[in-house]
Amino acid sequence: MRSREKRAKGLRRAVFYVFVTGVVVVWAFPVLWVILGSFKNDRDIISQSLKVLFSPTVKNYVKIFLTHDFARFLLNSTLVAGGTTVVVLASAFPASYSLSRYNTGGDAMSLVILVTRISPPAAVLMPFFIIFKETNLLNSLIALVLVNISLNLSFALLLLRSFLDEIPISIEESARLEGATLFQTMRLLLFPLARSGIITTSIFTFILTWNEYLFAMVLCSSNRVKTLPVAAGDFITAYAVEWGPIFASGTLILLPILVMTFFVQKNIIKGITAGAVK
Amino acid sequence: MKSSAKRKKQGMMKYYLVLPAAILLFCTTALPVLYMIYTSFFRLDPVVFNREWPFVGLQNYATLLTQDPMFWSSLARTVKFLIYTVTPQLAVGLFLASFLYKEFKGKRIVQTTLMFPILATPIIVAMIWKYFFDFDTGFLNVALRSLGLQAQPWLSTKGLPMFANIPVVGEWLVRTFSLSYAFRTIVFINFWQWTPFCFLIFYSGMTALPSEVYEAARIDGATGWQVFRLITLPLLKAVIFAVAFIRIIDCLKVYAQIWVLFGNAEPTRVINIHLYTLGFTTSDYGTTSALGVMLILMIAALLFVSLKLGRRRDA
Repeated sequence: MRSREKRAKGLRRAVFYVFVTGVVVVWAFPVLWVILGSFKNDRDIISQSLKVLFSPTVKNYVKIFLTHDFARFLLNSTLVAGGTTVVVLASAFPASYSLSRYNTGGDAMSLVILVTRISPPAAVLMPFFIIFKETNLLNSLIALVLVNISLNLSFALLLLRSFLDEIPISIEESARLEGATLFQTMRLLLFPLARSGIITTSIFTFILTWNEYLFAMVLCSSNRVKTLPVAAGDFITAYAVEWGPIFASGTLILLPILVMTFFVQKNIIKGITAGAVK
Repeated sequence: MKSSAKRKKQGMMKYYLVLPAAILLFCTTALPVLYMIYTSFFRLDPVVFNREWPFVGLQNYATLLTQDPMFWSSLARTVKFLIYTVTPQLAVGLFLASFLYKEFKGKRIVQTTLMFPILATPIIVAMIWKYFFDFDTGFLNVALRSLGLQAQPWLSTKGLPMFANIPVVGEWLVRTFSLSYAFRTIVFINFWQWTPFCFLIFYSGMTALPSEVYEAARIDGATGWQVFRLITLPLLKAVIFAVAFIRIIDCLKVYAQIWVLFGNAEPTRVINIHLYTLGFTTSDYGTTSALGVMLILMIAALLFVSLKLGRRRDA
């Protein structure tokens, strides 16, 4: 009797783990297989036997860097994402502090931020294109940074605010009573307390800009200012498909995201819901 | 006297702090939107950019609504895309969350695995699946062939045979409900990338639920399904609404994945793809501006309705 119960329990556990393994396979395997594929020869990639063992090569990486100028695209992407993150954070931190503590601008302000946050970026593709065409800013990284500020600022405001809302105001008040100025309070008290919020917001802004495709494709199509996703997109839509370099470019783009995912793990839920769950 | 001046200075401080962000928000968001509203009333010339465009009133809007059949069909396709992809995401996300809720070995591995797709670059996700779905050398077809099964044209824009082969109504069904291989593929890719998102939020929502209720239910001998249907689901209602809202909003932003896989092919042309085509293939800047304005109005209406619904729910 007891052994049968034990067996049923063991069986249930086995079924559970089969299911868990299935989940991991569905969501991790495609990514891992492609990363692995970036180290394969063409022959191994298109082989009809799905080889697990192969002799690794860095040929694909050499190719994208030497014949496709990926060093430049990598630099462009880093500059755009880095520049956007710095500007967005520098302006969003004081603003979200004010929003959090004084509800500056009231409901109207919140509504503007919310509408901006949820509007589809494609909607404003045309005016940006026309404005940059008129000001001769097409094919410049500045244009892309400006667009990405537009796409991320409201998001950063909402996200930072949700972190600042959690820091009790009493700490600041006592500091102010002791005679600390507002900037001292911000720098010495708030900054350390809001550290995880600032890091999370930075990483999200960086990744969302790093991933941006539509505007980069329309506004920066020349090789000099192309970003990584656009370069990879050219590969994917090209007539002659070369999986090796495609996989290498994909891996190159995903790598920083993989690393950063580990850093934001704890705060990821807050990041992805910023402003929408209220 | 001195202290009142100081207080006044502090009162202004909150505005100074918002100023840089407000200026940026105005210049990079409000200005383009206002400019778009302005250009939507003109017939813009894509070659001669002299600003002496003829004023056409609401004609660009009229053109979209009455003379552009693709506008309505791509709008309908967007709605179909929404329904096909958000519904299973919510269902599977909820299922995964309640199934993986309990403590088990390797839980962290599963959670971390499920976090990655959310942040992954959309076009690289499309790239991964383009390879997996490739007819000749893709992983799935190679696997199918080696098992002695028939390869599938996953990336074809043709109708799915199980519907297309129905006599008389087959073609109509495929067209009306977008039952093509290509559409299924873009729905699947969206499902793959965003189900983990639903899972994570549902999961964190469930950890916030009171554990006493669950203990009481267990002592009373409730089955897993009963617990889910009678306790988890009602308690999680607000979270489910919120997730549905975010997913709908995000699905209205989808562009890159469809573009790199199918370009502006009609069977997968959602509203964003249509907007791009109108702007950069047809070069009709004025009408594209009008479409942009209409998109923002639709989003605002959606937000208004959901806020109203949310308020009624809270009351």
